[in-house]
Amino acid sequence: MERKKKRINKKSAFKRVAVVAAAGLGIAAMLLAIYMWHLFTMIDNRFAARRWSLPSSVYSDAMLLYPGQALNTNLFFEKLRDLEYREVSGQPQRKGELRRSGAFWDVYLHDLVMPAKQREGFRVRISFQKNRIESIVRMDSLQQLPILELEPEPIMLLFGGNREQRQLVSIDQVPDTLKYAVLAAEDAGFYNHFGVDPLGILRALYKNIRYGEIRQGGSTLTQQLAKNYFLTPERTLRRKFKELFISLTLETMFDKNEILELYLNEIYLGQKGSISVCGVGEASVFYFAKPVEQLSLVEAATLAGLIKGPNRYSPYADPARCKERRNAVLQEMRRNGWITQDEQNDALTSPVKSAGYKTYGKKAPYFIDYLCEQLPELYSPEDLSSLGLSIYTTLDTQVQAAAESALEKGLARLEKSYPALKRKQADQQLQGAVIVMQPKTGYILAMDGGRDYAISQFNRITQAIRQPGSAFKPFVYLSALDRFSPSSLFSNEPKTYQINGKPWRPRNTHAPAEHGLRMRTALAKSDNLAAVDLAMKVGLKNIVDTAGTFGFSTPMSPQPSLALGAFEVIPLELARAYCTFAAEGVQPLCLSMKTVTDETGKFLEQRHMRIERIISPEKAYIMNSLLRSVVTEGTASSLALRGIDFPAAGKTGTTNDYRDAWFVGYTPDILALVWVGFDNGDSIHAEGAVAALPIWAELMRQLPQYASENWFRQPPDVISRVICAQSGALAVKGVCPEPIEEVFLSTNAPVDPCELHKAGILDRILKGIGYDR
Amino acid sequence: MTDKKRVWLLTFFLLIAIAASGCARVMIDPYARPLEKTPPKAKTEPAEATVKKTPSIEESHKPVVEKAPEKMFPIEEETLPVPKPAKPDPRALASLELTEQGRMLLEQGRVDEAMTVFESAVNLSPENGRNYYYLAEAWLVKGDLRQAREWNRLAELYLQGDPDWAKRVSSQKVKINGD
Repeated sequence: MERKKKRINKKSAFKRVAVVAAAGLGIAAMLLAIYMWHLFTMIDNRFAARRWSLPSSVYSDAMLLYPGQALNTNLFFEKLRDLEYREVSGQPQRKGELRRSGAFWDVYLHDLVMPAKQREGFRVRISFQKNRIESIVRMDSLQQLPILELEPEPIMLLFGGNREQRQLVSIDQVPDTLKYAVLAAEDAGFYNHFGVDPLGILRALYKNIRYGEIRQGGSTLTQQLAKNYFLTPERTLRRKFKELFISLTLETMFDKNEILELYLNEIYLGQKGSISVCGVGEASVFYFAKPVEQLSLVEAATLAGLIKGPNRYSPYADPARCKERRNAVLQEMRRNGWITQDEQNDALTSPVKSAGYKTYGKKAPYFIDYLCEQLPELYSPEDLSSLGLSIYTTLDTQVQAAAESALEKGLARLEKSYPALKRKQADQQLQGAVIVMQPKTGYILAMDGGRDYAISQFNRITQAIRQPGSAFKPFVYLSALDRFSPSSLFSNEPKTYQINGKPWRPRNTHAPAEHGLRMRTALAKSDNLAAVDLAMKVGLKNIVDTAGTFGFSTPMSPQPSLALGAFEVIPLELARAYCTFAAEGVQPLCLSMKTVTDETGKFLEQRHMRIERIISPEKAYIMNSLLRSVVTEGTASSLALRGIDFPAAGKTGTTNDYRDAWFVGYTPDILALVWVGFDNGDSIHAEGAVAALPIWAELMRQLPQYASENWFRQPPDVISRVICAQSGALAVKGVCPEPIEEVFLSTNAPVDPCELHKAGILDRILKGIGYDR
Repeated sequence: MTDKKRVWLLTFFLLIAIAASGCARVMIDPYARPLEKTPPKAKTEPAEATVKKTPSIEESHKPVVEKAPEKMFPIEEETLPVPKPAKPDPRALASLELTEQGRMLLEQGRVDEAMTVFESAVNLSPENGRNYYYLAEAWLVKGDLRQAREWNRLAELYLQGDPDWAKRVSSQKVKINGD
C-alpha cells in the first residue's frame, strides 16, 4: 500500500514536473509568439509607412541652348561640370561625357527627367563661333536642333537629421552580377538559410580562430538588415538577441528577393562630403556615374567589396586596397561558381576606375533660405526631409555665379580704393547684395544677400530695410505724369520748406542752380531740389499713394524728404517695383518656386507667374524713356565706359552721409538691383554710381545671353514731339537753338510753341525780306 | 582719413565722374545725331515677321532739327512698329520654338505644363507677343479672367504690328470681356 502510494506519488510528481515543464514551455512559446508578433507589427508598421527618408531636392531652372545664343563659354563649361558631365579625350561613349575640341563640343546628354517631361539622353555636337553657339546637331539623326534644354541642376538637398542620400532601386533593376557579388562578399548562403546561418557562424568562428583575427563576420544579410534598419549600433547581448528574432521574423514575412532588395537599398556605402551615400542606386552613381543596371562585373565586385568598410576600401580613398578587396570578392564569386574562370581572370587584372564626384555644394544659400521661408506654408520640415520631393526653382545658376563674383569683386575693389572701408572683424565688413529678376515673369534668377553666407546669413535683399535715396525718385516722378510731362520745367533753386514748423533745406551735392530743369534732365542728373519742387507740386500724399500701389510694405508718410527716398524700403520690394517699368506697367509676383513634385514625378504644387496692372503701358514707356536718359546722359552714364553697349535704363541712389549706394538697372529682358553699404549704417564714402553701378556692369558683362538691342515698344498713346530744350515747349522750326525730341502721353503733350524763341520768327521773316536788325 | 583728404578724394572722383559723363555724352548722346527715319520696309516672310525688332530707343526720342513737328511726327500712321527685316534674332526664334511646344500642350489640355513652357519662352524673349496671347488663353482655360485680361493687354501691345495676330488678340479680348 505504502509502496503503491509511493509509486503513485512518484508518478504524480513526474506528472507534475511534466505539467509544469509543459506549462513553462507553453508560456515561453506564448511569450515568444507574443514577442514575435510584437516584432511583426513593429516591422509591418515601419514598412507600411515610408521605408526610407529621402531628402527633398531643390533644382535650378533648366538652361536653354539655341543657335545664335551668346555664351560665356567658361561659365557654360562650369555649368556642364556642375551637371556632372565629365570631360573625356575621345568621342563621348556614355551619358554624361563631354569632349571639347576647339570650335565644337560633343556632349552625351544625361537623361532628362523633369515634371511631365522625360527625355532619353543622346549625343549632340554644339558648334561655337567665337562666343556664340553656331549650331546644335543631334548626332544620331544629324538633325539641327532649334532649342535644347539641359537638365535642371540640383542645387540643394533638404535633409533631416540623418543626412543620408539614396536612390531607391527595385530588385529587378539590380543586375545578377551585383547580387552575386554582394552574396559572395557578405553571405554566400543567403538563399539557403532561414535568417540565421548557424553553420556560417561556426565557419566564421573557425576562420577567425585559425587566422587569429576577425576575417569574417557571421551575420547573414538578414541580420545585417535587421541591425542597420531596426536597431541602434551598440553591441550588447540583448541587441544581438533582438537582431536574431527580427531576422527570423523578417524571413517569415518576406521572401528572399524582397529582403535582398531592402538590404541593397539600405546599406551604407560611403561618404560624399557630409552626406552618407546609402544603397547601391546612389553608390553606383557616386562611384561610377551610371545607373545600377549598367554596372559591369568589376564595378559590381568593387561595390560589394565596399560593404565591409566603405571608407577604408573606397576607390577614392585607396585604389590599391580597393582592388585587393574587389579581387577577394571576385575569387569568392568564382569559388561559388557564379562567374567563369575567364571572367574572373579578366576582372582581376582590370584597373580600379571611379568617376569622380562633386560634393553637394551649398549654391545660392540666400536664395535657398528665401525659398525655404515659403516652403513651411506648404510642407512640414519632416516632410521635406523625408518625402523625396523635387522642388524646381527659377534660379539660373549662371546668373547666380555671375552675381556672386561681381559682388565680391566689386566690394574688394572698393575696399582697395578706399582703405577706410576695411574692417578688421569679418562680421562688420563692407556688405553688398544683388538680386537679378526677369521683369516680365517675376522669376528671381539670382539672389545674393550678402558677401559671405558663412559669416552672415542675414539676407540683405529680403530682410534688410534701407533708405533708397534717389533710387526712389522714379516713383516720385511717375506720380507727376498726369499733370506734368517730361518736358515740364522744375526749379532747382535752393528753397526752405517748413516741416512740422521746422525749416528744411534740401541740398544738391553738385549741380548749378537753374531756374528750370526739364523733368528728364532733373531725373537723369538726380537733382534733389527739382525732385522736391516736383514732389511739392504733385502733392506728397499722391506720391505716398503711388508707392502704395507698387506694394512697398514699409511705411511712408507725406513729408518732403519722401521725394529724396528718405523712407526705408526692402530691397526685394524695390526691385519688384522697378520690374513694373520694365514690364510695361504690370507688376509680376516674385517667383522663386515653380513646381513641386513627389518622388514619382507627380505634381504637388505648381506656381505660375501672375501679373497685376499697376500703371498704364504709356506711363511705363515714358518712365523707361526717362530712366534710359539716366544711363545715356545722367548719373549712370559711366555704364558705357564699363562695357555696357546695349540699351539699358536705371537709376542710381545714394543716401545721407553715403550710408547706402544703390543701382537698379534693367533692359526688357533682365533687371538687377545692387546695394552696397554697412550693416551698421557707417558711411561708405561713395555714391551709387561709384559703389553699386560697377557691380551691375560687371554682372551684365558676364551674361551675354541677356544682352540685346531690344527696347520697349512704344504704345499707341505715346507720341513724340520736337521741343525746345530750354523752354520745354514745342520747338519753333529753325529758331529754337536746341530742338530735341521728347515723348509724351497723348493726353498731356505740349501744344503751345516755344515762348522763349517765338520772337525769333519775326527776325527770320525780316531776314527773309533782306532786313537785318 | 582726414576730412581734407576726403574732400580731395571726393573732388577727384567727381572730376572723373564729370569727365566720364562728358565722354559718354559725346559718344552716345542721342541728341547729337541727326534723325534718320527708318524707311518702311517691304513685308517680310511670315517666319521673319515674327522676329521684328522694336523701334530702338533712338527712334523713340531722336533729335529733330529740320522739319516742323507736325510733319515729322504724324502720330496715327507711324506709331505701329516698323518691321525690320534685318537678321533674325536667334532668341526670338528659339522663343517661337517654345511657343509652338506650349501651343501643342495647350491644345492637348495640358494647361499647367503649357504655361511653364510659355513662361520660359517669355524669359527667352519678352518681345515675342504670341506668348502673351497664349498665356491669356491658358488663364481663360483656368478661368482666371483677371490674369487673362492682363496678358491679353500685353499681347495687344506686342502684336499690334501684325494684322493677323492683332485680329486674334482682339477677338480674344472680346471673349475675355464677354464672358
